[in-house]
Amino acid sequence: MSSQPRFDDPVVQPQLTMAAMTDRVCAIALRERAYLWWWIAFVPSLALALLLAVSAAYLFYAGIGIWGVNWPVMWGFAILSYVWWIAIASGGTIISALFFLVHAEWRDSINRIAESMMLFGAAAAGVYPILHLGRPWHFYWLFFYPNNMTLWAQFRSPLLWDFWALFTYVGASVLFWYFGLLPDLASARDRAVSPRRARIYGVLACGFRGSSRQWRHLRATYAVMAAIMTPVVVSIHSIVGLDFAGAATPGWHSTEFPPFFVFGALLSGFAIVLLLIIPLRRLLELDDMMTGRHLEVLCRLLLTSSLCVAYAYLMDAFTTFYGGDRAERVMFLTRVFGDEAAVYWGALLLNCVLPQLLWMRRLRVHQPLIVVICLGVVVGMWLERYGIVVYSLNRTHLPSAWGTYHGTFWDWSTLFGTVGLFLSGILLSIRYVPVVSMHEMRTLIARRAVPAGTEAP
Amino acid sequence: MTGVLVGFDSPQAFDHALERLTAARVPGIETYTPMPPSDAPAGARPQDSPTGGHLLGESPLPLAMFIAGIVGFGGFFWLMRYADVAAYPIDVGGRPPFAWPTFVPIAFELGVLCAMVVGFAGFFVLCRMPQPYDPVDECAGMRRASRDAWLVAIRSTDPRLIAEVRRLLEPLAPASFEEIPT
Repeated sequence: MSSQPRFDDPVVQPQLTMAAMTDRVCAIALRERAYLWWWIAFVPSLALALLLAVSAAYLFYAGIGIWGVNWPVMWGFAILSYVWWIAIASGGTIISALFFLVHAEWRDSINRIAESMMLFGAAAAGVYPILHLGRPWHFYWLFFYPNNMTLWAQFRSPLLWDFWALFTYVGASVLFWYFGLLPDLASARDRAVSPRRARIYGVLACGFRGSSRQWRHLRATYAVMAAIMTPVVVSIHSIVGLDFAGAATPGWHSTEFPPFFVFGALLSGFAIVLLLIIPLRRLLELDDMMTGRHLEVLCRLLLTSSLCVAYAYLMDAFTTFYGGDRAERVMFLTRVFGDEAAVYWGALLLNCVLPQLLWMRRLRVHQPLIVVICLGVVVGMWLERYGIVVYSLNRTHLPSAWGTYHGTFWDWSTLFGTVGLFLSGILLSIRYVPVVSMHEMRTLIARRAVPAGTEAP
Repeated sequence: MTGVLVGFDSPQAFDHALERLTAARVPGIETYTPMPPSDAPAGARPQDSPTGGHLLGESPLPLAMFIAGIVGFGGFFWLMRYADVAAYPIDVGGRPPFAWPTFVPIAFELGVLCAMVVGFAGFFVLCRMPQPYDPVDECAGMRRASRDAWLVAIRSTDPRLIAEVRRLLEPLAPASFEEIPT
């Protein structure tokens, strides 16, 4: 159990049987008392989530003025953290949906964690636009709804695209997550010892029994849902990119933005999923399902997406000077050599330079190093968005409109509050929801077990 | 008694059982398996057997989802056109009210959402879920259906048919053979 992960580990250890896997995964969700480490992680997370509630309550009472946003920087922490969270969520969907479509075997044991990450990342992101509205009780004005003033939303605005993209993404993510969860809730129901637990999981499983009819429709529908989720996740992050690109602001007005944002989503998604599975495989003793193979594959993908992001940074610099627009150049030079140049260079170092260590095969299974790189990426991605959002607005076309921006206490408390919301959600899902997609693992184990003795590498 | 539930430990034995039952034209067969039978290892798939294909078949849900997506896309596209052109036109710097490319992203997103909802709801309708209770749940063997057992249920109250099933499946050494109560 305590063996070090190796890059040539199989995707699932051959001695693992369907029954043992199902029993162990169910036992985690069905524990009567939570692990001690779970409480140690959960209490501070919940405290941070409460900090979010306090911050939001004070925001509703006092207004947006408690944040650092003011002319000319109207998009501060709210937008940049929104983009940051959506990117994290999107990475989870890519692992769960795209790699389902390409039949990647390593996806089967980590897709539940990736989907939880997508769900709570989207929840943490979804908090921001509502808070940033200023008059959040009017949020329904964005909907299509008949009213006696015959008023309609302005559908030609990219900001409205953003609302609908997020709406669809959150809704579709919940459906996708729950749909794939049905057979595992049934397993938990059948393993539950206490009648109360059996009843709760029984209600949630809605009577899933694994009949041929249920499997037939579930399998077909899940495949189509995965095929839908993949373009949706590309679309949502492209639309977030277009929110920026649609504005005639220096540094934003670029066709590069949609792919640039999708690359960033991949990078931060792989980083967070690695940060989650490295402790969980040890704490939950899942290291025969989440093997060195998983670390190896995810690190390679992290490296690939880091190279994509590096390409985007390079093109960002290139087009600024190739385009010859004076305002663009001024903005870019301020970002790179100005007072807060550390933000730019920090993003470059953490997102593009540090992950290059993963070229070395030995380091791709070196867990402490991976954790450091991934934490770096998570911080680096936030810095990247800070640079994009704040510097472009600080240095617009008119020098008379230049300004400065600093986050206030409430900006930071809201940011850390959303981290608490994300972590509390993830921890609750680890505690109560089967943490591995058992029905997909059973298929994987059955496929690997036959023919006996010819274990594929 | 409303039938019997027969459990097997291996997908291969399960497949043999299905082959025998379908060859003998036993009606009312339902299976309960820990994974989609079509994903089971080769040689144990019901569709590989000459007569077991009826348990798989195609699902109409992908087509329904596709249609829902197209209808959702078209419907919301039309609604945006109606809102911005007919119901509440605003002149934004002389730009045309029917700026159709800007309607595409929202129409796409909502079309996708329609497809997802139809797929999700359609699954529940076609599988007649939620169905919290089924007499088959009374059998102890059912609790392994979501773990590692491959079960075949034959729903019938005809004792002669049940005897026939017993004769057919007994040689395969089933792990469990239970009657389904009323």
